[in-house]
Amino acid sequence: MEISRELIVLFCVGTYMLLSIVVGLWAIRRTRSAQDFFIAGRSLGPLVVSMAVFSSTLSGFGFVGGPGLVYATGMSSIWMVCVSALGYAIAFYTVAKSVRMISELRDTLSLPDILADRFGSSTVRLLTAITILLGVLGYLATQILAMALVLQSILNEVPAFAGINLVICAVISLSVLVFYSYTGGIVASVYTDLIQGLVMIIAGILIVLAAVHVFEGGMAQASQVIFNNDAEAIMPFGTMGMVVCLSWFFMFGFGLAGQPHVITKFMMNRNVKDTRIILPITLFGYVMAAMLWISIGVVMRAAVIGGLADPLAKADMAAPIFLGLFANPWLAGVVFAGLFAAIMSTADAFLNIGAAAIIHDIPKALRGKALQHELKWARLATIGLSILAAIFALYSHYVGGQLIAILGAFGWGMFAAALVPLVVLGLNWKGATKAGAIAAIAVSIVINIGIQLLSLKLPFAMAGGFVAMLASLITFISVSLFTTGPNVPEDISRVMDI
Amino acid sequence: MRIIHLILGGLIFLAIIVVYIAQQPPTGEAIGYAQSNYPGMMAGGEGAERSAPLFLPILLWQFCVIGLGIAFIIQATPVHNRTIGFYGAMFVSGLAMAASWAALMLSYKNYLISGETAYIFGFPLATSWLVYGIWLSEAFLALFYVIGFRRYVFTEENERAFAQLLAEKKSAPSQEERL
Repeated sequence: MEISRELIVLFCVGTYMLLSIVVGLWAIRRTRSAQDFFIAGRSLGPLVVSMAVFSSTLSGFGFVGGPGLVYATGMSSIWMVCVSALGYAIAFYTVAKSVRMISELRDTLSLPDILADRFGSSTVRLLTAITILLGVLGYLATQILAMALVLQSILNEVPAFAGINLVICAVISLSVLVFYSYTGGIVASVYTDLIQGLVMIIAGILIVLAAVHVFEGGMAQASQVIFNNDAEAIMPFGTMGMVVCLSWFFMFGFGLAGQPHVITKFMMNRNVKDTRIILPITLFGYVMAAMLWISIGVVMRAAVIGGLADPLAKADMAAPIFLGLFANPWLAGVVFAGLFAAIMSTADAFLNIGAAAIIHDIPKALRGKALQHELKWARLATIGLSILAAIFALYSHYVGGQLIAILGAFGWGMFAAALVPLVVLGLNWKGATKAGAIAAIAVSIVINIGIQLLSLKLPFAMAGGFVAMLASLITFISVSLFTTGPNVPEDISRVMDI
Repeated sequence: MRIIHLILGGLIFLAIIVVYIAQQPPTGEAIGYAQSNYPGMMAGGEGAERSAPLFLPILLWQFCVIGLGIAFIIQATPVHNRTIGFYGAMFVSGLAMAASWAALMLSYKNYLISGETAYIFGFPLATSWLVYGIWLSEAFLALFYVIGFRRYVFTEENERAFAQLLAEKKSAPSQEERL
């Protein structure tokens, strides 16, 4: 008996969700303290950390939005991807070692902990925690909405579930996410990341193999089809032009070192020396998975122009339509599971740092001490944050409004602008001061919010996050050069010499 | 002059380039236009018309960014680990990235002048420089991180110093108030 394509996809996604639940159950026993919940007791091996770093960097955006962007704008968005090697290298050279050492030395649980200790300032802790929390809400809401929409599109294809409500899909997918994040905290998160990372790598490789066979002449023929329609689209800057591409290169490359969900992973490896192995594995995983972004986008654009496929109703449909038209059902199943993996791995990372901001960083900044029974509160915060983000997501979807878009402005670009100066420079330059750190965060928040609220269109569609990041880096160094602050604590000063 | 001053200088130079570009009047379809035949699909239009005025500032922009990336790494490396080998590795990495960038721009400019391009590994030559050249040239930094880890990033001396710091911390807890 032939199994239908829809059931195969459903089976793969269901199996993946079941695996996530099993990992959550397994992780309960390994999560006995807040330290276990937030940083896995600094006990993880290099493979687990590598997969966690890359899979939480490449969210569902990489699997759906990325191919959609290539379909819509040609090669422009490839600049976000091809900077990954430089971005990871900068993050590892400048941040990974210091963060891991300070984390062990000061027994820290979060990035705001580290920055507060470095700059001797509870204001820095509070501002960092608020920045993280706002960014997390926006990111998380987007990921939850994406999960629900993808699940709805899969279930709608199965006759028994046709017409299923989006809210039910949100509840199902969120339940899986919250279950393993609640029971196992970051332990469950990183071990599911391991599964998620492997699924994403396999999906990336298989998709490239499928994509090059769509046209008889392979990718070269697909490129020529695009070239004949609009040459700029397949040229290195795509349809959007040079300025926006380079602003993305800067923001996504240098900005990677400021992403709190990535930095937190640097605290988790069992020793400093492991970072030597973590970087190449991370990079390999990312490159393999990101090839899907390029290959699906290019082939779908060429397929539509060449008449092999109908024009897409929405650019974001590039990946699902590609899978429906050109991929073996089992490959489509693996990729859909990979898509869920990508979304969930990013969402669980944000749940974790968001919960840390709520129950650890903000109380510590305001009261001067952490809450009692942090583990219990962390689990409750995980549930609360998920529900809040789901409400934001569904409200935005049904009622409209710009809430998610505004919070989304606090996403990658916000983290990059606010945190890169503090971690990339602040953890390596003793001249950096508290005033410089506060000014940099303030400048980045004002510019990012200003651009979003005023709906400013920057010249040549330059990315707002790039402008904010450039301004905040200049502010950080300039203010630090003209101010003095509390001396760097002796132990952290010695770490900075290592 | 210290590295941090070079970084500040580089950032200010980049800001000047950005301001200069922002003041240029857009020529042609500067950020593309919607294709009427294919909804949701953009087109770039005439490349030479929209790219020519920005060519030099864009070239300098990216050279500056490459230099900044290398400078961030040098700044983060302890002075005693900055050996000739380390500076050599940074120079080679920077040179590889700059060369790939220059090759990309040169092949793109050649295409804009001639309207023709060769296809290498599935893409037009200039795009191949992006997809393969830029990516691989950045990977030099990752390669040096792995190869030079015990020489430049975390030497045995660094490891001993950290172990000693941890031991001191355990035997005599710091008096500093944790925030």
